[in-house]
Amino acid sequence: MAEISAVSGMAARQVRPDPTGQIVPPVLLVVLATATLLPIGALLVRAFLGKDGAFVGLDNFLRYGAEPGLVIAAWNSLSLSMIATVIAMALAFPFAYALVRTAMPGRGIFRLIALLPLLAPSLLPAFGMVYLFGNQGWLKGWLLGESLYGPVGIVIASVFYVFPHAVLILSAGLSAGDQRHYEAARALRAGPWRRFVTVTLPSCRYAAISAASIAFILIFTDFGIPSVVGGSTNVLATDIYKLVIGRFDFEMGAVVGVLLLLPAVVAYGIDWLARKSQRAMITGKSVPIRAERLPLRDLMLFLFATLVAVAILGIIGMAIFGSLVKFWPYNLSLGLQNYERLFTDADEFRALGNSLILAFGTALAGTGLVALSGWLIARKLGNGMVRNGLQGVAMMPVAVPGLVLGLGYVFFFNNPANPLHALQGSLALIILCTVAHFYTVPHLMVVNELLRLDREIDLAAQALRIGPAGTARRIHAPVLLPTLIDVAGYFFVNAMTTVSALIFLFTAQTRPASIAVINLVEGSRIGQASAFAVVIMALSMVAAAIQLTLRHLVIRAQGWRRQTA
Amino acid sequence: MAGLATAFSVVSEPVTSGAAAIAAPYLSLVGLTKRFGSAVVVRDVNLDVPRGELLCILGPSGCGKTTLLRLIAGFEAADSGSIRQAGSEISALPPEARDFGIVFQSYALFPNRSAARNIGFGLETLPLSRTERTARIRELLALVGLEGHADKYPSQLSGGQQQRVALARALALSPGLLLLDEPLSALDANVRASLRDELRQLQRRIGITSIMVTHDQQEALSIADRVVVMNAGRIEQIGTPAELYQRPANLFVARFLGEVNALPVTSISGNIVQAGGHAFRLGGSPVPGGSAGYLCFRPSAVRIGMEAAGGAAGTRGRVSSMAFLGDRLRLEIQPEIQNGGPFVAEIPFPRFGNPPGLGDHVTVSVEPDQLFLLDDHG
Repeated sequence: MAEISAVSGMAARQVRPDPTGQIVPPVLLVVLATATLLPIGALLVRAFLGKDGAFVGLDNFLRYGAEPGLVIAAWNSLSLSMIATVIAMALAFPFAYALVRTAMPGRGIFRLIALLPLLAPSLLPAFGMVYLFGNQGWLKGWLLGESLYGPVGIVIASVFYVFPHAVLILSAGLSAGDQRHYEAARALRAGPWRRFVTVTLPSCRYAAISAASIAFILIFTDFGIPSVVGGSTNVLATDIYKLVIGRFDFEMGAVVGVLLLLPAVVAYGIDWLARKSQRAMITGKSVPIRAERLPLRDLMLFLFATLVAVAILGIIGMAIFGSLVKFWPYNLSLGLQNYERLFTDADEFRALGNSLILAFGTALAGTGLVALSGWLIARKLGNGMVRNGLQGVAMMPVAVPGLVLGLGYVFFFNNPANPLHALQGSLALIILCTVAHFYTVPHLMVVNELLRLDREIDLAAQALRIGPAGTARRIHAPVLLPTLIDVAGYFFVNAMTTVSALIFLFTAQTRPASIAVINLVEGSRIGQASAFAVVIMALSMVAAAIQLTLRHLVIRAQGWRRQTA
Repeated sequence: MAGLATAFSVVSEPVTSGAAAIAAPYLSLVGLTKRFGSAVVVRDVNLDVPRGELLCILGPSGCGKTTLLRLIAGFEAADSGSIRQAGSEISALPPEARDFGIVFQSYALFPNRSAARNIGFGLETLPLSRTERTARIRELLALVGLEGHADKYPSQLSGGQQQRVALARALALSPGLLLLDEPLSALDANVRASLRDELRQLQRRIGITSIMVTHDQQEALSIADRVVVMNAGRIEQIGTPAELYQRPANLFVARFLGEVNALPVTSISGNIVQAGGHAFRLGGSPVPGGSAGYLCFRPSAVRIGMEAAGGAAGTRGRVSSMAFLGDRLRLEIQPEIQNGGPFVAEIPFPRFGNPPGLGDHVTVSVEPDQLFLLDDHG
């Protein structure tokens, strides 16, 4: 040791073992399995049991098949979801293409407008449509005598609902191409159209399959839209509600749950395969796409995007306008009486408070759980089998419709034999269900962010005698912080706007605002329902704004993120 | 092997390595084996490292060299065998209870910490005052020549600077053993050469026992006291760089350390060897006949032109292809005899007289002491 001294106190130091990797994963696995796997299992089992709890084989399914009305609902769900998916894709593809592959002006604004409906309950566009095309709508004639209430309304409102989701997935897929393919095609003298057909279309086919699958699942399992504009057209999502709440036929409800779950699982499987293939197509060496300027094409797409943007803003604007109108359609003078009721009526006001508690609770609990599960998986802590179990349980909710999860909660937690029975009817259970419902996407956000951090960083820390918990606090947490802000925002907005999982779980005391909207529709109070939906959207926008600001501030405060070398 | 014997004997054995070996080796691996599923990645490895030595583990990718390093660090658990460090068995200890510092190819710096706070990471759990810690960090920064960069983040440092920070961080706790996992492979050629020399000087100065894994034979030969050549989980040969290059134990080692001509031996009598259709006279004592194998020589050992000093006396050949390598010419020679295998020669450039051209007829010879006989496996 010539020039360098030894550190004092080294020899005296005891190495404390860090049990994080042994204790946390099994505990978390139990928590997450309770929130997802067990309730879904309870629903699947119930579909094969009779009223008395005895195994009856396929009896419930046969009973279901014998009711023509119910079978028609299944057909309606399938066919309308497919039609709406096709239309949504036909609109979303050129829109996404215009956003990421052209030099069209105003791309940023168009993107914002397209994503706007994500902040509103799925019902909001439906209200706008009621004001425009309903029985007393301004543009009723546009439907050529068809009634809005029924297949027409379901399809149009569903297209609006899934459009932003499809645009998001498609634009991600379209921006991930390789510029060199276009240069190679040009060198081979392919013109713009040929380049589009031979390079662009094949390179985004997986993104298209993925977007279509997700759109299908969302429409197929949505409860809000058919309950507002469905009229007498029955679909599975409304049937399950009627069977359970109206007829107390839990077994048949479970059967419909299985029927909702199966196509969703299949569609999710297709999406999963598509994403895997999409990833394989993008190599680390890809050269990013540079948008090409083609004046005629860009102009056409600009006109198209303007049309879509006007439609989105028109529908949402119409819902806002309708909520402000005194008495549609007879007294069109504006006033706030629909909003006043939300703050004066004790039930409605409580619903608003419940929604805020639900959203904050979900953001808090969800972010904590997701940070933990994503961290354990990305940093490979603990037993490999436990980790695989965790990953499976975390990935499951994305394929499970909210209605199915909610009904599963009823079966699982209403059971007096369950030690968690006491949770039944509480806001805590609603929060748990919402966290579980939206678990997968944030979980993957955390995993992907932490996977970008070299695995050897943890080994280097370990060699310096700092265990997983210490490394998490010192290194992983600061790196993950902006992602966690996004995760919290995602949970918050979804908890504000979700309906499906909660319609089986709320009580008079715990009813959230999104459910109150549905109840107002059932009472034919469209004005107040619209006002409530607008308030939900406004709160979501505030949350999104806070999320973006916070994220920006954090990133600016973390000087190490600036690249100057 | 030498170490265990001398620990109990009065007569010390001659030291064979370049570094000074003390009585007991600092690190000793005995029968170390590691499997992943059915694949044996490290197979019965025995290795002694004396205190203060810089040992390079060299081998192609997938040969098990990195796994061997991870076994020593404790990131992997061995299936069988023992690891002794400074006289105590460590193979059952977790990494944090062992005494080593490690540098990775990827640098693995903490992105959210400045150079100084990266280096100070391991010091944070020690009972040190702030002044002591700062002084220690300053000392380490000076050691790797980064005095002016204490407050820069990894993203603001060049690759070479990042690797210096990683090195200083690995030395922060004054470990007894320094492990280096391809520390230079991610760097540009120029930076790599200069950092290699610095690393060597630093290691000599502080005298830390070091094990470096690399796949670059030039790097290993130029930096190491001794080199371990690994292949398919096994140690093929251990020796000083000169021993390995001049007396490779088998064809694999010879090929891995540089290009080599290997002509299949057809017969041996006395010190005349028939190989690849040529007759060669070996230097030194006669070889016991019968053992089949290859007659090998480096391209640089081939003499071209008129001088027939020995070796393949009277062999003539034609230049069938040529490549210019800057300071050398690489020639492929097709012998003019029946069934004669082609071989490769490298001659200095420029050289006295005109170099041969493509298609020229030349005479070829190899210095007898540059010839060696090898088998596929030693």
